[in-house]
Amino acid sequence: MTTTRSQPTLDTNAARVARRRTGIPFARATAYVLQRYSLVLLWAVMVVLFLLLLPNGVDLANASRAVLGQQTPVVFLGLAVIVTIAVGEFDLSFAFVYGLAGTAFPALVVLDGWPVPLALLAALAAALLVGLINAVLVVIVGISSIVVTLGTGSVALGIALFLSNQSNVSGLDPALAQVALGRFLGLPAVFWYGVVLVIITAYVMSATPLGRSMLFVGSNPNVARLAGIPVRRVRFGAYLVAALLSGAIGIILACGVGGFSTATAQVQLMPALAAVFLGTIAVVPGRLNAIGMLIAAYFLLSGVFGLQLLGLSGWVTNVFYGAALIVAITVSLLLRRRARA
Amino acid sequence: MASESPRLEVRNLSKTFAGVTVLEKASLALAPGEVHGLVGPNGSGKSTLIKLISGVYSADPDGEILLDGERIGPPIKARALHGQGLSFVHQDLGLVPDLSVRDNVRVGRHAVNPATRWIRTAQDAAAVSETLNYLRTDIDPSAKVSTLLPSERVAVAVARALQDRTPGAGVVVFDESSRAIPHEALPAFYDMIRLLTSEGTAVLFVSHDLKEVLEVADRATVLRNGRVVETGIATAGLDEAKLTSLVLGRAAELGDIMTSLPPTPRLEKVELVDVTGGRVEGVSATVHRGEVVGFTGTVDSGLSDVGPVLGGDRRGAGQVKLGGRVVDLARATVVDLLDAGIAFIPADRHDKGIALELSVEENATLPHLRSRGKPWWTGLRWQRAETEGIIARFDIRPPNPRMPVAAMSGGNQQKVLLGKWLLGTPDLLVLDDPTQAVDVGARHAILTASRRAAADGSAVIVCSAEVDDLAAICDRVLILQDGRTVRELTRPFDADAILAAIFAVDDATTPAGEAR
Repeated sequence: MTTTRSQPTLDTNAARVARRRTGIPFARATAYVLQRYSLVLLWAVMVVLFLLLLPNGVDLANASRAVLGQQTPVVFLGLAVIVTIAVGEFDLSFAFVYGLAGTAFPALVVLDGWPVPLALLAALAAALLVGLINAVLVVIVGISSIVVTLGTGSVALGIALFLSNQSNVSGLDPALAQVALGRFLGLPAVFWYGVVLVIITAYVMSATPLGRSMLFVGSNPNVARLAGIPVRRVRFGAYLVAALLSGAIGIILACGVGGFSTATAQVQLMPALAAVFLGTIAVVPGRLNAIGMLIAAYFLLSGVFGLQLLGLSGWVTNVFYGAALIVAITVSLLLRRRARA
Repeated sequence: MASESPRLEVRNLSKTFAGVTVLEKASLALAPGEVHGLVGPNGSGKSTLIKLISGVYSADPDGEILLDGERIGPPIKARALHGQGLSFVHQDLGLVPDLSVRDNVRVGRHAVNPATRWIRTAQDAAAVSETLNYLRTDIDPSAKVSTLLPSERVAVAVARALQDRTPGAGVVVFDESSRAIPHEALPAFYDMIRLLTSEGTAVLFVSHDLKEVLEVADRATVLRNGRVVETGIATAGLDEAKLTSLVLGRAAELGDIMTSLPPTPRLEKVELVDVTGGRVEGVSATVHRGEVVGFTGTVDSGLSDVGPVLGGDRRGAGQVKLGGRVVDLARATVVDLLDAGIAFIPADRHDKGIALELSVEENATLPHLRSRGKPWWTGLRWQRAETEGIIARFDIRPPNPRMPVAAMSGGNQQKVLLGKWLLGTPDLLVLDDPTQAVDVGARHAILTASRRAAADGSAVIVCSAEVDDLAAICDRVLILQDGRTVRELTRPFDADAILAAIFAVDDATTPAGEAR
């Protein structure tokens, strides 16, 4: 956009290339749309494909409601991943923290007879404790974040299994289900929580000094430090926020279902990571962004849903998540390379 | 006879990207045993030419590249180049610090047992030793590169380029290699280049530093706007001013900076009291607003620690007094220093100065978000306006606030860094080695900006070993020795006087018997 104002004195290669590029506005506009919304286009292609493949056809409105209405932790967990990766950390414990809080809450209420508010606080505290341990070991002690968070994640999962006596917990007061299932505009509360949090995260990261600080801490901590940003505090905070988000969605989903299946928690590792990385190709290409992640999350969920309608399930989910991630990132990279040449 | 034809010859080489010609009919020839400088401002086509020769880009079809009279392209087969006698030492030297010298030199060319495909380490080690001996160094091939001195690392990179070569044959291209080499190791590097050419190897020496080119190269080729302006001119008949005017197409005398921005000292002053940290031991000085004061000295004088201590990048002690405020360096955080109005421009641009993958605007406005933005809203209009202002003031190219800084040339990156800190009109501006790795045009712009910051009311401290820079912009120069200021020069002085002062001090205060 702004490169059009080339001055006559500029005669560097870059300026000449820039001038040439503005000469073909249509191609540029196309490239722009393709780059930013390739994921949305891919989504449309996928939906059309499913419509053609499904023998009896499908009611699009119903299908959308089914996809958007899923009780899924992917959006919350994706935000947890974004917050940590944005500041240059890699927290793999999020799925296990989700499992820990999701198990601890119903287990303490149902198996140990704790009052609901106390169990809720305890479950959140447990999640935050894992985040705190991660933060201390990585930020203060200086151990590699992948190693630390895999370790604490495994411990968290073990404790969750212990709390639940290694079985599914159920039997929460059905009245609590409203927290997750209460409908607004035909969609459950969980969906709206996710949307609101995504909007808040997107806003904080793109429009506030805190978000800019995170960006610089993740990109170059030395530059951030010399600009007066409290680098350690930002990194520390990211771990706590990630743990809090992961724990919160565990508790919310436990409310919705009335219990929790601990063993399924770690299955959420891949979809959340896939949504985050897939999200980097949308909206703000090449950058972690919450809105891109939200689009990617529901792109993936609708893909899995479509495959289920086709009678495929189980193994195909893993293949789909992995393949979608690789294909989308490849497409985006090729597009960007072409735009540069 | 092979020696009759040039070692490397480029004829009519052009490169067009999407209809834009970035290099037009470039020709040059390297005689056996010569060091040939390739110079030109950022964006002149220098790196394009090197990428065409090395096969990274494919040239337009009508050009020719010849080695010892034999046509090797285009198209160039990058993998075959080393065998044909053309090798490259790139900017970052391309060494892996955690691997041994042997592995670093032999990577991709390991001797292997044909049956097992295992690496024959003894054979590799012998080959590496032979090359290193040829370069007159006694580096242990099994040592880790991370344990080597900077000058030894250079030798390792050169050894990789030379291996499996008949002594005296071939061409080595040094693509801005001196950027990766610290000042003190440069003489050894130049000696190594001369050693190579003394046996008949030709060297193409790409550099932004004209003084260096004048010192090392026998002849030079100048590129400007994608065209060869001059080729094969003997450097013996050139001085820096003449070469500068060839490169820029106009004269950029550093001497005019002081004339256009004469001293404007004011009464308010900034005092450094007993500043200590790193090798600096108790430096005290007064810098008036409107004044540019240089710090200089030899490599081990503590010069490289003055800036970091004042800027909060290195723990130190002592006080900085500005306008009634006293900042205690032992306790101050970076935020305290910023609040006191101290701006520090670090020497290591990529590691500490700017975040490369972020945009010009994001980088430039970062330190000012706290004062100009609100906690819940960074504010878009002032960011854009100030960034456009910086772009116009420093002539940053291309003038695009949203461009990632990584896509810009070194000089323009430095301008962004400077703009970022000058935006707030600091009370004390500390620059550490500000003209490192920038071309002549950017150097002039950066020095002028520093001088202008003083005229605008800042007290400016420039820490640099570049005496020409100091002579061009400083009102006073303080000479450091063993962490203390030992001498002060006041105008008038020139670069030679500063240099003489640095070494006079060194000689006078270092008795023969003192251990070094």
